[in-house]
Amino acid sequence: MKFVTRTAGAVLAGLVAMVGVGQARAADITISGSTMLFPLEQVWSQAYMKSHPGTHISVASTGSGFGISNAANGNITIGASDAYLTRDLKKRYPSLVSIPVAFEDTQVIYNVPGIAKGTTLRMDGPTLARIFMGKIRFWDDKALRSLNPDVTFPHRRIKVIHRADASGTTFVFTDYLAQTSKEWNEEIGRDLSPAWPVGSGYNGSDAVVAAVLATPGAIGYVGLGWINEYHLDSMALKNRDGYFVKGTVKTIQAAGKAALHDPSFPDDFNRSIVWKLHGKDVYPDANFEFWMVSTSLPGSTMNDVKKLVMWALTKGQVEKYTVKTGFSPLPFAPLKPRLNKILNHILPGNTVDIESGG
Amino acid sequence: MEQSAPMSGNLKIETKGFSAFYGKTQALRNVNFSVPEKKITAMIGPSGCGKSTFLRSLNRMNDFIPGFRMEGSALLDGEEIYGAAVNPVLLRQRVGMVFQKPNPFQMSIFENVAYGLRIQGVKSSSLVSDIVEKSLRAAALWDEVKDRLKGSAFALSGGQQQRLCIARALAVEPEVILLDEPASALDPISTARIEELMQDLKDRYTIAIVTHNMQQAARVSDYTAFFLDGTLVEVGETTKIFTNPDDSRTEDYITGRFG
Amino acid sequence: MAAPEHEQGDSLLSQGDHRPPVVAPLSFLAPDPDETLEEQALARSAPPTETTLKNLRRASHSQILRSERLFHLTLRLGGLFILLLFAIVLGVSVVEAWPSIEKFGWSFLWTSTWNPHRHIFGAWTYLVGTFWVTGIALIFAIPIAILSALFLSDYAPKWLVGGVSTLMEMLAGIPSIVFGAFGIIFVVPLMRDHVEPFLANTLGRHFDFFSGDAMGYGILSAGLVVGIMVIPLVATVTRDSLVMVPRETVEAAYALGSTKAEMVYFVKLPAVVPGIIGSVILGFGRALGETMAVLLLIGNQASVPTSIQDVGYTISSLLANTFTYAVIDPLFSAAEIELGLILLVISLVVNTLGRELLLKLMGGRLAGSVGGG
Repeated sequence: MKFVTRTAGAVLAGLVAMVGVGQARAADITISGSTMLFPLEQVWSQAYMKSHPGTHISVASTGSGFGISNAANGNITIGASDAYLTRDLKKRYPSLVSIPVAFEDTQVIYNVPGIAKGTTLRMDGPTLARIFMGKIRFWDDKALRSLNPDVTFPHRRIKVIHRADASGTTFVFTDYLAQTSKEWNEEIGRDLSPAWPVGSGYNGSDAVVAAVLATPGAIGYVGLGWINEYHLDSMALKNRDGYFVKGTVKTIQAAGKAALHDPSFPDDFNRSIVWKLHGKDVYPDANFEFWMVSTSLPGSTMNDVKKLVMWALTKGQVEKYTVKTGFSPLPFAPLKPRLNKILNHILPGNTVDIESGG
Repeated sequence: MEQSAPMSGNLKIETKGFSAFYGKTQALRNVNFSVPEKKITAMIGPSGCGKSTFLRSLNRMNDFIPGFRMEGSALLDGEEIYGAAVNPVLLRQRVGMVFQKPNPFQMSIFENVAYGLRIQGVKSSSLVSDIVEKSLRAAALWDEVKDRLKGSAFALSGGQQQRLCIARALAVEPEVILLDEPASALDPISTARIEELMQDLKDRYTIAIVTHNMQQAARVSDYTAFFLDGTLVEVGETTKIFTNPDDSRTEDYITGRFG
Repeated sequence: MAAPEHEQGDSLLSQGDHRPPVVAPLSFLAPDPDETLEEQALARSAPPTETTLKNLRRASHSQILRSERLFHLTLRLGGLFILLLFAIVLGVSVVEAWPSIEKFGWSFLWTSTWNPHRHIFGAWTYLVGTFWVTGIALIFAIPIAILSALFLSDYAPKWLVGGVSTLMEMLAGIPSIVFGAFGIIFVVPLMRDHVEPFLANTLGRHFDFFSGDAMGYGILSAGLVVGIMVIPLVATVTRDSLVMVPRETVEAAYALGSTKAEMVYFVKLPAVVPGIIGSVILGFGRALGETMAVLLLIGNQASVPTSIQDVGYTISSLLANTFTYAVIDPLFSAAEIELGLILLVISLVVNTLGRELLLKLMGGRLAGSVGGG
């Protein structure tokens, strides 16, 4: 396993990965992993290199899996992941530390002929799970009608559309299903690449959008960036307190704030926030995006990482970077206490300090 | 050009003023020639003299060569070979041909011989078997292949393949068989067998053979025609051509002064 | 290098030594036992003083042997490299797939569950999907390819042949992602709006295999597009073998009173069967391994198709979709590598069977001229 991971990692991340360790110059940072974070990392690295001459950042999109394993093996400086570390992964990669860098979400989109554009369909977890398990097969099913008494549904087959590649969007989506539906949790669970019982799969969110738009009767899921870019109608999802909330920058941020203010939320961020949070405006299907670093990185590299992280969590959160690439900005103030602990863990004695320049 | 043709018996094929062209090149000039029925007529001459072109004109095999064109007249049993109403496919069923290089099909020995029958729509398998056996016997190949009729034709020796091609041509019961240097690619023993075979066949078929080998022409044919530079120089009984030719060019060729 | 027979003097006497060196492990590294010290000394002897033909000739048997040996060595290294590469690929795959092989054994092949969450992995759905796509592709491609090859070799006017042949070669060189995109914008809507509803309303009334709910995406679209990619391959190889049918064979058919159609159908086609088989094997390999176009069109759903309109999943598209993620879980990645191994074995088996069949069909003739195999 190690061999393949290392070889394939090296091949996939290419020079990026090879430069990462050993022969790195003082300020060389390699980031690879999540395909979802990749666009954000690209705009970040360009802006950061402009304002920080002498620092060189290489970014590669290899999938969260490779991001995690390569970061743990020390092939790269930072591994980007759409998912926090599960108990299993924490055991396998004990040296990894997760740093939240952005906020992602998943929204449900659909294409039902006869339902007017601009209609907001309401959906709850158990119903959504039954649809994605193939147990609800028609749009005029009783469950859907009772959730949306004002809407007239056609008698049309539901065509489930999901991601085929391993994806953070899928992780967040199946997290919501697993937290709200017992049968989904038992039979399928949450995963970046679960065993989908029905439907058809597409590689990438763009392909999901295209398939939903091209298939009458389709239901699928994508992140906020895609909703905005294609002006898609998304469903209002039922949250913990029984409110139906549509995903917007505001409601997604509300979820982030609620999590960070929740004292039971762990300091290492390795827990889902989906469905855990209370509040009228809290969108129930959102999660952090992470950068993962290994504590075994040399101190000088770690210093560079710290500087980059501090920049990303402050200047990097402006909407022209985050919202433009499909993420919601992280609120810095509530993040600070936990961030202090993380920084102290990777660079003992260090805490949050926001540089004035740059 | 004047040609004396003191031939006995019926004339199976007759040409009058026959000329042939490949594009702008004239390959045959004004050939007046007859092939008598149930005899062997040999055509000799140096390379490029037009003898093969003439032979291939008789069953319209030259039609496939781009730019081929003919003038004059060629008759089979008095019917115009190049007539507008003549279907070359039907013509070739009457005028068969065996080529210089043995060219069996990528099929079994049996199917090679049965091919002509199959395309003519002969369905009865007992009839096909009978004709295949008869043809293989006529080509003196039966005893050598009767135990491996289903084997590939390519497993046979060159001489056997050529006799198979003869059997294949015989199976469709043509009236005329054109042989285009049939033994030139074969060893002396196989050549002898083919020559023997021709003697057996001439009772039933009209045979025209192009050969490079003057001894062969002298051995097997009843009549011999000498071609030079696209013209028919002389034709007559083989014994006469080889012992007392009228034309000095014929004599020169036969005595080996050129060619 | 000149042929040995041009050599004179000592080299003539040593013709027998011009056989290729005996192949033994690492034998090429050992010094040549035939080369005596004297000969070595001779080879290094003082340069000639006058320029005569004799002086220009290679001096000794050992000199010739040496250059021969160098050439052989170079060739052998090339061959060895291929073998080594294959051994490495196979070895690494088996080692990396071992956790899965060990855990699931043969049942891996017929287990249809693939659930990373529950740690159960089976190849069945992906095997079936792979065979459906390959099968549809070949059923679609072979007749069209053979017809177009026949057209090009025997019927098309000359001015058309060059153009169409060039087009074919270009078609064969187009990256598969382009075909995938073509599939999405053209084939999928065509299937969804016309072909699949038509099939469902005709054949589908009697056979469930043709009915379905007209997604457009699925094994039919994927198979057809892969078929389109296979056509130029099969057509080109078939045309090449058709053109190579000897003129004598064609003339023999005509001389027996064949029409052109009879000649083509009864004589040319049987003669190129080995070529067609070779090209189909090539096409099979192409279809089996095709990844991107399939991934875009098949619907990537791990279920066993029961209808031609169903979605499915192939081994190669599964690997392309999920392998980068699977690496974080040893059993997951082992299962995926085992799938890759299965693909490798299938193509090896098909190639070997195809070659055997080819040799059998070629009868006494050499199989060398035929591509593929």
